[in-house]
Amino acid sequence: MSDRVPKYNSIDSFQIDAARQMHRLTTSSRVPMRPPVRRTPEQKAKLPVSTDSPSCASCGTVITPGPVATLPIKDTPSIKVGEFKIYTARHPILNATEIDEFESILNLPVPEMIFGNNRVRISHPKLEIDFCALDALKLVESNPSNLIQVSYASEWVKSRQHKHHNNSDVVLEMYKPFDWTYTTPYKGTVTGTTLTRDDEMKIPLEKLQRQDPILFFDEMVLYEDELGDNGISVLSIKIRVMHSCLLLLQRLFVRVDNVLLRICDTRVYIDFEDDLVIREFKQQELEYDKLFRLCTGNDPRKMMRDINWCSQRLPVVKVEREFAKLTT
Amino acid sequence: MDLDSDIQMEDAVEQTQPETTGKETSLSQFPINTTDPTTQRNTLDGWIEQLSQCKPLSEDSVKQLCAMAVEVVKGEENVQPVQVPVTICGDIHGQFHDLMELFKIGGPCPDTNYLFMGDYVDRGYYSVETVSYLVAMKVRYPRRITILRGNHESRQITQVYGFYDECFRKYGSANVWKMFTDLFDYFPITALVDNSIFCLHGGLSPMIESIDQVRELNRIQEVPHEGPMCDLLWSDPDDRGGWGISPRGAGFTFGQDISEQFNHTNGLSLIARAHQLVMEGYSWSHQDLVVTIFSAPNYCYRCGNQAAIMEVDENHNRDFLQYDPSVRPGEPTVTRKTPDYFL
Repeated sequence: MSDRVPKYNSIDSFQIDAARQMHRLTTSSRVPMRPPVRRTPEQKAKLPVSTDSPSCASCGTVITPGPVATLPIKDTPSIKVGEFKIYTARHPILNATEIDEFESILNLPVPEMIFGNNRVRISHPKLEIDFCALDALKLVESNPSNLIQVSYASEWVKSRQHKHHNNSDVVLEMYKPFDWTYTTPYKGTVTGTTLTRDDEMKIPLEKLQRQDPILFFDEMVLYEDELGDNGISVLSIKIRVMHSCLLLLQRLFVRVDNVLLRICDTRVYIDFEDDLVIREFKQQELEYDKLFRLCTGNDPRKMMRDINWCSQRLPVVKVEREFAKLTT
Repeated sequence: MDLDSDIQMEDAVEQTQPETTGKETSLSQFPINTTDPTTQRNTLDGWIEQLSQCKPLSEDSVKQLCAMAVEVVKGEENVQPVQVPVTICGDIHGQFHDLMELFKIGGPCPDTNYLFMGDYVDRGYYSVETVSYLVAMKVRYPRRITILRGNHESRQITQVYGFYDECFRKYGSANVWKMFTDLFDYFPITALVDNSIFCLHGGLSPMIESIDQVRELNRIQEVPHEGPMCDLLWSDPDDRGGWGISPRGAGFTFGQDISEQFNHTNGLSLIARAHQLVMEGYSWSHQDLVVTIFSAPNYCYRCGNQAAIMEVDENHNRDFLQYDPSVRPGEPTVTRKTPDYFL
């Protein structure tokens, strides 16, 4: 990284201009959402909201700050509601040195796009929930009992065995297998209060369907791999914070072409007024062919790339719910 | 239930698509079967000018362009010889504006010679413009620019990763996709820079010990699922020695011993390849016997990586030029979608 742009003397001014322009563009792209016209009828006393960010003079909506004008971009906004502090960080993918560090910890090759410095943290004096790629990847199975293979694997291996049958020079070896779909049961890293399992503890959808003003919103990818162009595995996060509650969705989407589709959703719901935390883990899965049959149109594979479309059609194979009450 | 929508690739600003039919000024006056070189050059210059503004050609023009390109690339060799000086580039993936940035950083073509190692299409928003531009440049300056085939220059992969979709969106049918994928079959698969640097998209194959064995392959076909041609476009170097099979069940990795043997057998100083995203835009492996070059900055509009190209001068000195994404009005580099009421 030392001699980044070696060729031109004028490049310094170009870099500065680019950074300024980028800063302007990103700032303007983040004008907060207008509060909806239809206001919620109940007007409970709102918890104090504080942030390092300015708020709009007329409506009070927090304006999420622009990223620092650097190349590459660094971006770490945060917000505080009552005793809960929410912090997110978005950075570029890891560099070579950082990848080496990760791989020495994980003992498996990291996904192609590894956003190892991205992070979402929700902290409260009694509980902290973190989401980050390293902890998610620690839970990827290193020697899975049921190793998934790409659709043409047997054909490929057979042709190799045949061709190298009498060739002692060529040694073919399957490396230490690991779950290369990067499927993880990760539900966030929790410190402090333990969550109690209770599958009846449902996230109140009706409350979340209300169009309450969003004070803070962010989304990011923790890792993504194109599975050697055999599909995709992506772990991403969205978070929205309203006056009375927040919702975080961490979603793992795995599509192995012609083999299977899998979605693992972790939702964290926090009710600020009741100091209640609910975490839900839901896994959905289906064979590729079975979903492909539901596709229509002249480009059916397009639907298979639409995570939203898939999520509404994959059968649920597992749901777990936990909760914690943080009242003193 | 209205569930969360996909985060992927939606956030860059889609430009309103320009009219793609009959808009080029007076180009239709030049019929394809013209043999007059000056007329052909003018036609090509017109197309290049139009494409450099990121405006796609009409379907008719693409048809003509691909027909001309087949004539140019089918005569090239499986191991296309390339002279120094040359600037070697990796994956572009439809990031048209970053390709323009590449030419700014590396110097304009044809004043600078270029060698591209594949993956022009898929993932980015401007695969059509990107591949049209590079192919038009190839036809216009056949000895100044070399374009190799990547694993994405294939019918099967482009149907999954976006190029098919984009062609359909921009032209209303799959015709242009078919023209280009038919053309891809003719692209050379490797290049040899001054008998010293072996350039290809993926890496080595256990079935290929000498460069002469590459020359014997029949390359004019869809990228196969197995065999040496598949390996050359797909394999990756690895820290572990020997040949490895990916845990996915298909695909090779090759170790430093393999690279040493191959370079020694063929009198090479270096294997230059693309195919893998690296944060710094380039990455050495196998004690400088293999270099990976990746030329799509901020890959997929969200990785934040740098891109790089490698200049090789007359004396075989190598110089890496790294660059950041081009910044364009109306298209934020840090993309942040408006808040949505996901559930």
